[in-house]
Amino acid sequence: MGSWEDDVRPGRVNKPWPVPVQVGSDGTPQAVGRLAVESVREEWLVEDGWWTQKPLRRRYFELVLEDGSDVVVFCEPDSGRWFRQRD
Amino acid sequence: MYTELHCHSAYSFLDGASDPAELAATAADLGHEALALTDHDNVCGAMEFAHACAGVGVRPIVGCELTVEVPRRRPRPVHVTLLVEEGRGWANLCRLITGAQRGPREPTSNGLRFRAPSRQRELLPPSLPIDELERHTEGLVCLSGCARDGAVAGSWERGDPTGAAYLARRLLRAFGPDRFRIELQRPLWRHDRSRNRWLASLAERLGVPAVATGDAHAHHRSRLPLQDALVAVRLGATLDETEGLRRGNSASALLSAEQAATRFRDHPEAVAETARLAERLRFDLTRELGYSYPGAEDRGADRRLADLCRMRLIHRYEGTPHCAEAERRLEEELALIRELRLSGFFLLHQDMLELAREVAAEVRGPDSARRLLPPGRGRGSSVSSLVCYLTGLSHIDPVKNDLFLGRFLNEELTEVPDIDLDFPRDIREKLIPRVHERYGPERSAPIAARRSRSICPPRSWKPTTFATRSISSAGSASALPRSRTAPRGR
Repeated sequence: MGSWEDDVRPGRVNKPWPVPVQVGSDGTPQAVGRLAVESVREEWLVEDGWWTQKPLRRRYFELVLEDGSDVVVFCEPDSGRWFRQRD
Repeated sequence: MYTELHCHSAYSFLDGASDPAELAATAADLGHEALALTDHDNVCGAMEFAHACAGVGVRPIVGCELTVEVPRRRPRPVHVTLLVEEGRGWANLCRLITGAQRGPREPTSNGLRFRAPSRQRELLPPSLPIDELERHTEGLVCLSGCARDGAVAGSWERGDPTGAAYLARRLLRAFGPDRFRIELQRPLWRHDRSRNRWLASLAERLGVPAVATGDAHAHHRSRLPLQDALVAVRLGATLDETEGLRRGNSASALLSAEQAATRFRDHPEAVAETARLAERLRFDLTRELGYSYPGAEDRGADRRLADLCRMRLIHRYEGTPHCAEAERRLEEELALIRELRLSGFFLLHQDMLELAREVAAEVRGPDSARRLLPPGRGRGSSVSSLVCYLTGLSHIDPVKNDLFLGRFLNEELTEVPDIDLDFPRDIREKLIPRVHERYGPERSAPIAARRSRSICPPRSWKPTTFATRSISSAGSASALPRSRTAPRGR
């Protein structure tokens, strides 16, 4: 399965970037970078493109961090890697 | 404890990827005590579902997801989930569906209802004015609708919380607090939590419970790619083009109680409410339909059928080597028919055949060569019945041909036997209104049979044509070039 990271098209906007995330036993983020998660505002799942060479599977979270910032991160369950994305 | 109260089968026609039997079997495997079937604007799968559920020990709840129109500045069809609580509710649901299917469509000269005028002659989707729904609420429980297009949640999703609250109050007034619930769904979309928080607070303000539903579109997640393809076929677009209109993930498979508890962990009361509500929904379609064939209540039917058959037996068999066997077989068949209380059923068919004979005589005239043609003819397994032969419903002598009756009629029969009558084309136009006239509009109706749950092929298609078109539709949805899905030769 290819990754969206393989997409080398120029000029791509809003490209997600890797971010360290600590997760709890239920898979919910506890901290993003050095900042603890205050609350989980939303949680959603995107599974699409199963008919293509690059099927997409992402578990998204919209989080409020301890500094009051609102961030969107997602995990690719197949690789277990976390990324942050501009909302 | 969780009961799924919002579930689509393939009878939602291109918006459901599993058969009722698959849903029933999976519900049993998941340990559900009951399961509701709520297809879009129809109950076509309800009876099949009810029998499938009975076979696996799951209690079937019948209902439908009805499309209603709300008169606003920009009218948009919205969905409500209706569940049958009692017999009166089933009658009302059927009435509402009939109204929605008849709906605002324009009649055309060929009798079909199309959007008119239109180059593409597109059939309008069914929908019903909300005030019509408000007039037929007895015996029904109303849930406020799905996350995307629901009357309440859908309005909130479209940025209209005032409209959402207005519709909730209107539905509450129509159904009352015992039979109206705010529906919470968790399709794992972006705004699930905010929407459900708002809906739960609305339910509290209105003083009605919220109830969780899964809006299942398949019995298992492995079937969800098919669901995606069906949606693309329905919309006449490719999978890529329908991104925002498909489910978008694998969350719409039937849920177990544990999965539901996890998914709705912020709203445990809404999960508990599913079981409380399901406990009330005890209407059993297989037992309470209350329909009996005209004549079933007629105590004289047994005698009249026997007299008719015995008289005709003499005419047909007297002096032939089969007479004794025919007499023995007739008495045996009549006893079985009496036991099954089907004498009126056979007399009804015979009466209809006599009506066809009268119409044929009128249409063809006394001098026409066609006057000698039979006015109608039975076929299929009914030709093994001597009663059918003697009453004119079949032209095959089952005694002479030694045909076995059991396939058509036996002591363990649970449904009425299947008598197919074919009437010639030249008399149909006059015969159909005459049938309505004789039996009354409340007891006769034209029906159409769908030969597939996904696409309804015309009769002129060969069996292979249907397969070819299905492959072609799936190919179009996948944006494959036509050359890849075209037949490769004969």
